[in-house]
Amino acid sequence: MAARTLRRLAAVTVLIVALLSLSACGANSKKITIGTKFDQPGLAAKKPDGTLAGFDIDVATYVAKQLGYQPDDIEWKEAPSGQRENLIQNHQVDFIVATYSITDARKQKVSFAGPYLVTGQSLLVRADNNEITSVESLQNHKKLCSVSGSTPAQRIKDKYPGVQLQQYDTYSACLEAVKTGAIDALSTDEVILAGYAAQAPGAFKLVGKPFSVEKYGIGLLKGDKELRQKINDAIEKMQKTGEWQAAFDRNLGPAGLSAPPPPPLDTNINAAGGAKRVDLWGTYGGKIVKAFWTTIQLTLLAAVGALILGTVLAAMRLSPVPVLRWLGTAYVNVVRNTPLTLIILFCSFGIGNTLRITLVDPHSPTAVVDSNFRLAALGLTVYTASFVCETLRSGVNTVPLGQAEAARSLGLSFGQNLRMILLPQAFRAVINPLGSVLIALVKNTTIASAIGVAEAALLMKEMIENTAALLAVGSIFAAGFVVLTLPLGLLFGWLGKRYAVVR
Amino acid sequence: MVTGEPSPATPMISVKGVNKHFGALHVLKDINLEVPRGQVVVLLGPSGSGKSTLCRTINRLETIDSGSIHIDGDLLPEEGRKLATLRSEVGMVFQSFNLFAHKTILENVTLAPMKVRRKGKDEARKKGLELLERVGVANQADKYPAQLSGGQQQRVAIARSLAMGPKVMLFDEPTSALDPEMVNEVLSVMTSLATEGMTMIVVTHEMGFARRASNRVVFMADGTIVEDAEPDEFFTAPKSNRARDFLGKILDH
Amino acid sequence: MSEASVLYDAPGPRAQRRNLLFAAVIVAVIIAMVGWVLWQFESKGQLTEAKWHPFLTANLWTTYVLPGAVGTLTAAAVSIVLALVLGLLLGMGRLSDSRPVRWACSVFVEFFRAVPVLIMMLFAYFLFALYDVFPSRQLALAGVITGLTLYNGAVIAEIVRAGVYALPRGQREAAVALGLRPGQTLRLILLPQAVTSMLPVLVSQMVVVLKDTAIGYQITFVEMVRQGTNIGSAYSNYIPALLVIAALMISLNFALSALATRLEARMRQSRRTPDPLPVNTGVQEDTPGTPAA
Repeated sequence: MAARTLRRLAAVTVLIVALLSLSACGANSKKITIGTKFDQPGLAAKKPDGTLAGFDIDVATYVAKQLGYQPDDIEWKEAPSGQRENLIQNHQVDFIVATYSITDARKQKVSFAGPYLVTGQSLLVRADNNEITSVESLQNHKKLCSVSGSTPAQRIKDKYPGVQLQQYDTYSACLEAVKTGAIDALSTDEVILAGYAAQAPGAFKLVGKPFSVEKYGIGLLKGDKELRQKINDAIEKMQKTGEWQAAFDRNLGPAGLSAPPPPPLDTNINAAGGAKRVDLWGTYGGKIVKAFWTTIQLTLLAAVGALILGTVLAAMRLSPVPVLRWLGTAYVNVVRNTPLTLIILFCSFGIGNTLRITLVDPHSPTAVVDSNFRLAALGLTVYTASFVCETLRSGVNTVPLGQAEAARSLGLSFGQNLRMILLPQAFRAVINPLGSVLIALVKNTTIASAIGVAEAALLMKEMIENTAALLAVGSIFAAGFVVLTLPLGLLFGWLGKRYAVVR
Repeated sequence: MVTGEPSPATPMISVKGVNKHFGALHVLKDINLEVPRGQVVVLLGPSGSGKSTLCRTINRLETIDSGSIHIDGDLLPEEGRKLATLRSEVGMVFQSFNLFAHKTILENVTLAPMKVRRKGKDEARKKGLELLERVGVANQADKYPAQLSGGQQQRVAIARSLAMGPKVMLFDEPTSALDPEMVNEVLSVMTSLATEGMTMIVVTHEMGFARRASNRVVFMADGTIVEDAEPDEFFTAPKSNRARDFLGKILDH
Repeated sequence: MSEASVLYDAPGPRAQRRNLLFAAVIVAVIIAMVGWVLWQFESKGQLTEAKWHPFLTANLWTTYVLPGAVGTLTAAAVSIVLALVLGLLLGMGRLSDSRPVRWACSVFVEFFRAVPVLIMMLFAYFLFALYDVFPSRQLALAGVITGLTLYNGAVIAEIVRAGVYALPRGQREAAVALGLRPGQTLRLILLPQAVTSMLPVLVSQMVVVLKDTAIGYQITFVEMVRQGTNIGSAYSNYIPALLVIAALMISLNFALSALATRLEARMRQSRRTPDPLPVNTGVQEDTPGTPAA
């Protein structure tokens, strides 16, 4: 019977894998794949009906037309900031028009046509914020939002170390935070900021003059001179026919920007300077240790919190008061069925930004870092406590309940019964499973990277993106976690045996 | 009810018109039972007759639907501190011993006196060791229950109940879970208690104990008391058919 | 014997009055807290109609929620199937007679229970991107499936081992007494019974897989949580979006958990199926380094 089940399982698996690969090979040779952003209003954003609109979209569509493709032949692919080079190098797109700044570092990996737009980095603040007037005023421990994979915020921090950075996944998350006042400013290219500001008229304003020069180019495969020439020709044509100005006014005019003169095309295809090799340990050694130390701190904090809260919950679920029992059950059922990622995001957006409970002194210079850490610890505590509670309850079930009856018969109250007879034995019976929960907690701290806590997983992402030494980086972090969890498992196994209540 | 000095005529246990249901099942039907001070009562009957349930209602491990239960003249309270106090005066010995597995023998015996009666540690220990001596397991005082045999554990359970100085002791099938060779050591402790004048209600199948050590046999079937007589009379000449049926089945082997 | 009466006494009239009072106080406190939260939300503009209205439009559901749900369910389904296969193979390997096989499988299992799922997903994702193993549209999906399969395969291997160990020892003894070889014993007698007894635990492991697809959020996998943040981006209604997504996911997971519990109860009652492995409600996963309970 089992053999038949196994055969069926195998067949289903083969079928699924085949279907997947089939769907992947559905590429039509008459199509062109263009990478772009999906969430930058004014430049390239997905509308509710699923179509894309914006200045970048118009430029890309025009270029594609010049290359012989109709708008229907275009397959749009989302190109998040950190993956643009990968997408080009892996032939997953033909070219990228995605607010792609031309930099020497990027020229190492891809070639650029254009630029088709010149802008500069600027600041966006809440409309009623008069404290921040320029980049310099951020120095006073102000909170600046940064989006994972983009460089503007890091650049400001390098120049003005007093700034506090809060990292989010998307610009919209940053905007929400600026709107509620949790973050002071958002910095990125002026055109992008203008597009966002236009979406919420009156809520935001741009301050200060642009303090850098950003040239948006069209990224393509490195060394493909022929395609580069064709795209440059197309851009020139667009500018000459006035289509460029029209597209600009159409998309970015509502944001209050007026069309600047179109930029001259860049002739230098090569990057200045040679490639740099990154010394893994030298640059990152200290950071790795610090990241794992953060992991350990998160674990310890959440472990203590979860133990306390979990015990309280277990007592509630076992208590004679029906309302307490119901509350405990509701808590466990809701929390256990929610993904931890969601809980941590809630802690940051809901509790941190909306309810403004940040658990830190808002004027402290490390407010953002501390707040993220504590909110993550809170989320981990809330989540893990439900598992501690259930583990304890199962432990109470291992105590022969006749002992509870005997205790009652002797005149002990429920509280005394719980404290002296049931819980001590329950704890000793579940040492192993509690160890399991602790190890799961160690691994779950990686989820905190979703709100920018500088623990192991976040650093791993950063290191892979910056050094591309995938195998080495992967091994380091895997080894780190094995070192953390394996001894814990052995320790709890030993403890469990030693303290088991012999029946 | 009167709570002053109980007269010798006040029964130790007085069960009047007690009814109990488990869902739709009527497990105790209008039970009336009076147990005078110092009497040893054996509750007999086939399984499902309600004898265990009746025993457990006396210290309110089971609730009753109607009727009243008085212990030494005091109405059995429904909850709270008064119930706990009254419970401590009613000792209970269970079929599965129910010793606290994570505490030593001595700690098992001293726990309740210290935490419920608030006795001092030394006083409790002294009394505890005396009782353990009395039931014959004083030399195991620092061992854990799992290290003792069934018979020893049950004797410790008896000592644990005695440590509270109860007025009446309830036994719910105390020897049913024991190997045959250990039954006697427990029965002899129970017999010595009876000789000293402890009021006891014993649910058991041990006919020998019933004949030798008890004053009264109460035979139950289907939730009612069918026969209530002295042991000799009950075993030699049962009045009801039910009782005769029951005795016929069990005394044959 | 009623369940409540074992841990504590059935409440008498005074206790019942006290319980009612407790209930009233606690309900009042909860209403106050909820009220405060709602007031805070209101003052931050989270309760405006503009933020909640989009949920009534079909566009939001077809453009965002549907792809998210499809992503979550696809990743979960494929991962579960692959993890089952992997887990069975690894479990059998750990129970095998050959020492090298046992050792290799043990190392594999211990390693993949020790490394966090996110780390595995990140590694797989960047590996596939670097060597162009999958087309970019399936890159994140492949990363998620790889991470989930490796981890849950290891967990299921341990569940299989626990299932076989939980069988009455007499089963193996009887098979040996009849002359069956160890491999045959495992395949014909032990595994079939173990697999059936593992059914409830496996169902509850599926809930874990379903929840863990949300980790794919961080490698830009299109699943429910990411779509929640995308909705928040598109309509500027972060909090409402996350709340709705949370409600959806909780309901789905809760339904699956309830199924696991119901399955276990039915298996316990039925005389035809072997005793089910207890659905370990307290523990998410096993500990590396400890023997199967």
